[in-house]
Amino acid sequence: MSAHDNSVDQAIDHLLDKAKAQKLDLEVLAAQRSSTAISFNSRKMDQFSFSETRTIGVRLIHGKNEGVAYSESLDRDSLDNILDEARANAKMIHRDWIYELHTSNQLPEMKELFNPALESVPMADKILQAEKLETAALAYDKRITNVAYARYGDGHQQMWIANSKGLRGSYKMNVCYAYAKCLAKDGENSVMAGEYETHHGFENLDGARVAEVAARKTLERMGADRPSTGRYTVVFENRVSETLIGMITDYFSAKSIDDKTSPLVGKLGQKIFSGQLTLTDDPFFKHGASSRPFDDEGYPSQKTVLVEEGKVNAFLTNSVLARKLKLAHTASADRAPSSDLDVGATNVVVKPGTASLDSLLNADSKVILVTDIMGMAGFRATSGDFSIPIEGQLFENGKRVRPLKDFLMSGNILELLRSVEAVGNDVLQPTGNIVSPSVMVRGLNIAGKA
Amino acid sequence: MLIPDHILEKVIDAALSQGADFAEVYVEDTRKRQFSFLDGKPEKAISGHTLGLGLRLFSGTEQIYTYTNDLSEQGLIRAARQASEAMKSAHRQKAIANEKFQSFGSYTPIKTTGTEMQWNSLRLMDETARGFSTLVTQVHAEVAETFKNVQIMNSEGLHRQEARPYLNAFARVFSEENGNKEYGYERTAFMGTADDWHKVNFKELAQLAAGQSLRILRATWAPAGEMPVLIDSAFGGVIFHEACGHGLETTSVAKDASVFCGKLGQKVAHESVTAIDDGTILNSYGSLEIDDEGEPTQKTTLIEKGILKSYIVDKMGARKTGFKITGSGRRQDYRFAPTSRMRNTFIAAGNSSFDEMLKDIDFGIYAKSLGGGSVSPGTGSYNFAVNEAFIVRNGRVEEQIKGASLIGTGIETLSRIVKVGSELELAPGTCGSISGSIPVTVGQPPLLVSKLTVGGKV
Repeated sequence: MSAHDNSVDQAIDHLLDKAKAQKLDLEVLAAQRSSTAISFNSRKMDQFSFSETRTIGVRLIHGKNEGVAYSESLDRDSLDNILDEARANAKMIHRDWIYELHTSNQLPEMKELFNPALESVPMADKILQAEKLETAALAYDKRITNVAYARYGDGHQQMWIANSKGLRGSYKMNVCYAYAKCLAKDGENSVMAGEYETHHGFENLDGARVAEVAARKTLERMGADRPSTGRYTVVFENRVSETLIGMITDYFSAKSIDDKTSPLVGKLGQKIFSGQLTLTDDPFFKHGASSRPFDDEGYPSQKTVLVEEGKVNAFLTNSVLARKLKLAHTASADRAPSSDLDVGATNVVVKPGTASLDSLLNADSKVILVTDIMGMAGFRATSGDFSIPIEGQLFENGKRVRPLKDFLMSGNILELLRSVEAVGNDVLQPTGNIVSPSVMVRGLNIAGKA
Repeated sequence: MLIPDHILEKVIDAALSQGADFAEVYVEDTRKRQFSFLDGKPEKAISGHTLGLGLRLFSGTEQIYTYTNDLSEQGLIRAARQASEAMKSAHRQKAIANEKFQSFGSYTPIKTTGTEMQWNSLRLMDETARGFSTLVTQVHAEVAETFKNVQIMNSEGLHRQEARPYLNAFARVFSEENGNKEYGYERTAFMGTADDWHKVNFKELAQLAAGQSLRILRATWAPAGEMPVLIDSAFGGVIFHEACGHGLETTSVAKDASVFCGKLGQKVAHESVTAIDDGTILNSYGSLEIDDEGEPTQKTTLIEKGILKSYIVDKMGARKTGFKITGSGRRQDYRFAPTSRMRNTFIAAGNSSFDEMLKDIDFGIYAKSLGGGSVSPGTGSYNFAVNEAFIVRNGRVEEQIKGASLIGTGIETLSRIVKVGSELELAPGTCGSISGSIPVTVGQPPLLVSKLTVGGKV
């Protein structure tokens, strides 16, 4: 397998030919991925990895029946085998609806997702980038004793969709990233913090900046103690706000509405979030990790306003759920070669406000800036209740006083997003599929010292 | 035999051609079937085949890893040359005869017909949970069968195979009352084939999930702050897994990024604590005959009466730290290079009774059912979620509470485990770390921690 072989296309041809001969309705999804990752530790390259993999999956429709099977092997026997398995699986799954495969002979493109120049970056330059991450972090301050992670990586992915009704399309994307996480001794204890950056262009990746930010954040953790248990005004730093928004994105899935597991069942059109909040599912967002020209059924991507000034404006649907629930079709089909048809958000973007981070931190005499969420196990998605460990900085009258560690915040994510009092203007270039500025809430429950 | 020996030998030769001092191939052929039930009817039937090869080269403590699922001879040799070029002499010892490890008895490959028993089990879970209470609004039940074959060959002459079959089943039961929604989740997982489904009590699984769902629905918020916590047996062992286990993996220790660095032979826990990581327990979810580096698995005593006795050591970890390999090199699949990982990890039984521990609490929490957790080994700060907990007042278990996540730091918490109960139980889980998500079990008898921070409401 190499970047130029056509084995995936040939496998798709084979499956479609078989489907035609056997008069089967079939949708084929395939993904081919390659990646490089290089890590430095103790001024030596300690990990170098690269990969090339592919998966092909079929979803077979027979009247109201639907079956899925996938394989990582593209030889003829394996391909014939997944057809047989999908057919056997389809006998077991009987839907309430007849599925209609999408027909279209022209699928949209999104060429900006793929940067050809990134494919030809010399390996030596990539190694240098990883080395620089460690060197720059160690050089930043002699209190940085160790760079636990200094890593450069890149990834390339091509997706294919085809069905027995003649639909066929493909798109590819690539991205590179730099990640550093530093460690400093703080008396008997250690402190750690990291920084991560992604780009489409290798030349845009600023390893020195990533290293310095990781080192600075680490040093800012020194001398941390625990806040007293109580209620606080809290500002969630932009990257942390992105995690908070990520906690509710699945609530907008018509699948979770249909399954009755989303807390937003029956809430369409209701104002249940803060008026400061407007959220959009935007598959075109520049540098968004989930941008794509068409969804996993082959429907052209579209923007969907999910929350407009606090009001639940739309749920995300695929073609089946749009019909079943009589909702607008948002082209949000989400499926991997190895899974069945679902619904998913692409990039979820929070509309920025006007407040600077400094003004948010000066909103009250005492404010906790939450800089990290340390684990999500204490979030119960069904109710929205959370009790999760965080790290942060204490601000008094707008000035940073000291770092805080080993404490928790508790509440309910729906209530928290209803009580957002201000949205900042400090949006960063995305490193994932959620984009948000910092947000402020008052009266949040904090558990720390006694 | 997944790939013929002579091809793997060529791959190893090509990999060593430019100066690596060690090369290893890991071939994986996994078949999986997954069936689920939702909304009172069959929801999902998916069959899958994972097939790939991971190639690892060492030059001193530098590691090159590549993986591919192009298993043609040319494809593999090309991958090996690319990996080799990434390095700067070594010679391969003659591979020994293929030593077959058919662990846990002999198995037939995963079946593609005969699914009636699976669907009946799913229907039973659905009906049981729905019949449990009118407040039950949704039931999601799933069974999965995985059959993994691994073949490992390295330049030191090791060549081994193992077949690892796994069964997984869960019930997630949703309930609703006065606009509040909650769910309960119960899972079982162990090593076995489709012929072993009879070992699972599906009805009980559904009842436990439904019961939990309703209890959490009616619970009130936990208090916030520091207090004593009595942690129940079985999945309660997640506390040791997070507070200590990850910090003992040489992945962190070799980088000086663990609070347990340099502490071997020292007291790191209360004298009541003895902790073991055991890969040899028959059919347990975290068990192995050989690890993913081909080393025979072991029973490793990590802490004995509070004294740190051993780290969890993989091959590269042994190179970097000089400690002996413990048969703990593990990976999710061929996409991951193996690293030091836990297997079945538990705190050994002590001699305190449950009531005796309860009596020690004036005001605190009894954590009956635990959720997942995580840790930052570098700082030792860990956390885990509590699904079901109760307030303890004056030695008595009283009202149920929710939202009680617990946090602490590793060594401090180990010193605060002041009493350990007498009845050890294990529970399966999935552990995620740099070499992916792997099957493990955690376990402990009930134990008393004198002080932990509880995340609730003021």
